[in-house]
Amino acid sequence: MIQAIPFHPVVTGFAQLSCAGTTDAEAVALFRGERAPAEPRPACDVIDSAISDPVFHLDSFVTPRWEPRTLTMLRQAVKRALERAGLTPAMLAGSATGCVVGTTIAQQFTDTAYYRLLREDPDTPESGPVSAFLASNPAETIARDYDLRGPVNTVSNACASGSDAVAMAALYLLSGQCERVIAIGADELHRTPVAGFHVLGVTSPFPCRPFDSARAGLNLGEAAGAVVLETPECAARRGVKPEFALRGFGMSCDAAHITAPDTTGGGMKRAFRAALTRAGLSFADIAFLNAHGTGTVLNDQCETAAFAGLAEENACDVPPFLSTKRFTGHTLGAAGTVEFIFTMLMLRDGFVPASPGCKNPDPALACAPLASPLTLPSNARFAASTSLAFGGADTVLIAERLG
Amino acid sequence: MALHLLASSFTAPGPDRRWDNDFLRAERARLGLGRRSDRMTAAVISALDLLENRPADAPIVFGSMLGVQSRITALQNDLLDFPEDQIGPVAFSCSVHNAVPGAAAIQFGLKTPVFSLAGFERLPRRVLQLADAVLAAGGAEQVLAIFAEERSTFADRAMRLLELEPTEFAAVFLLESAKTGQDVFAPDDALNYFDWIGKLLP
Repeated sequence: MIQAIPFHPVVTGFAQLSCAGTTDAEAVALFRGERAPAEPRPACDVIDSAISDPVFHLDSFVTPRWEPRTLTMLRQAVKRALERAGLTPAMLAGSATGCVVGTTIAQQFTDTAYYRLLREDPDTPESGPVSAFLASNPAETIARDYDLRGPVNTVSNACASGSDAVAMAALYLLSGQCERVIAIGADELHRTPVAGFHVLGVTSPFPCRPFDSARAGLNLGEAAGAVVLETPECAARRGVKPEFALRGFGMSCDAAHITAPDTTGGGMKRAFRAALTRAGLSFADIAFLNAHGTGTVLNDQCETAAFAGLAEENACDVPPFLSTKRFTGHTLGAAGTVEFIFTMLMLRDGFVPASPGCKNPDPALACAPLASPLTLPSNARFAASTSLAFGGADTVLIAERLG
Repeated sequence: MALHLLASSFTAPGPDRRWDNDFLRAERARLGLGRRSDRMTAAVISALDLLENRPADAPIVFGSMLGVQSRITALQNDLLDFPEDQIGPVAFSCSVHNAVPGAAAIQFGLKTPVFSLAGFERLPRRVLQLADAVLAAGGAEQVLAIFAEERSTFADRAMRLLELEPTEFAAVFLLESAKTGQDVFAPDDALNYFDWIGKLLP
């Protein structure tokens, strides 16, 4: 049975790179409306794809030719998160630090040119791309980079992977397997999901508008985020005063459909209840919700049904909620980690923007997102970030701003 | 790690180190699996169906190095054959790494967390390490650890590069936290992944 957790893992460092910005200041300026959001570009202009759906591409981020782009992005995010946590490579080498990477693209061999070669000649002597793939598993790569000796795993739970990486990090800490874990979410824009979401008919021809009556689907994007989580004792031994904690987390499976979410919100509610129980909180304690909010009808129905249902159960109002996908696109395996970071930034800044892209909330939804910016009361401490995914996965992370 | 094995079940390969397609076809019919049941999904669901005392609420920790190869290969073939990127939607949605355990959760109504892990270094240890963490701190009394690998031209190449004899298998282990005096279930790190599974196969 799920119970309140005995301690709340603290966040000692984090960093993200996405179309919302690559620094805290850039992201906060975007949230405050002091910077314009990035405009998505046709996929065929920025990646190898025939499809022209708009996507959010990190134009300024250059990838070395020899390295998978996802790996370059996540290495950058990890390096910056570790610097902020005050952890040097020498401090990490040989330590019982864990590493969990959530990703979709980086765990699958997607070299179409090599598949052509194999199809034409199954006995081709060329194996270089396969060897490179086997050597580039994201979590194993980071563990090698820093000589980490704690639990190491790459989790690929589709679009919830980034949130699940954070939840798994917490499980490792709470179970006593280690005292520090780097949780990462990362995914590059890639032809396979661009084609896949297009044929599923869920991509929008214009910038996405989650929860809006005129929404037409999602935009894909690319991003990486990294969060350093430690036990409070581990952070205290280093003399670190963390600003945030992972107050609670919950996961569930809809067990209903392989791609479509449960539009009654049943799975999301179960995940949220688990997160609240671990956190020792009520739904009424949540200052705001950073929703998965991809911009599809089914996503919006699922999440708003869950939020309204939880409010009814707890005899409280639905907390203000928004989706940040209009700023970044749907960054798949990165989304959960990056949006958890956005949630912490909004808690720190005390400011939550109106849900970007939503001008006329869909009246058929069970509740409506934030219509105007919200200044948080000074005592606002808790906020949640939600994720949904293929396979029926639902994940909720609750961030706490520490005194 | 302190895990106790309660039950196990397998869809084992035939002498050619592949699942028997006639067997999988019969299992699809017996279990009422639809068009989304590719070979690996059918093999995993078949093994789960035969598991003694299968729980109704155990989290799943799924580990596979290379994932659902029939779907991934179909997807790549579509990309090669249709330059306008008109890939098959089912091939796409069922090629994701968590599609197999997701389908298993649907089949058996498991509304518990599902973790889908991928990797090439000590995958058995990593799957069981997470199962141990879920039992210790995840509020679960039992965990289903599932391992599955499927062959393809690409997978055979990858397995050989990893010095593994290309083999298909689906293995399900029902685990709980070991109590004092109970046998402890752990991977034998002296064996490679496939040899470890091979020793456990009936």
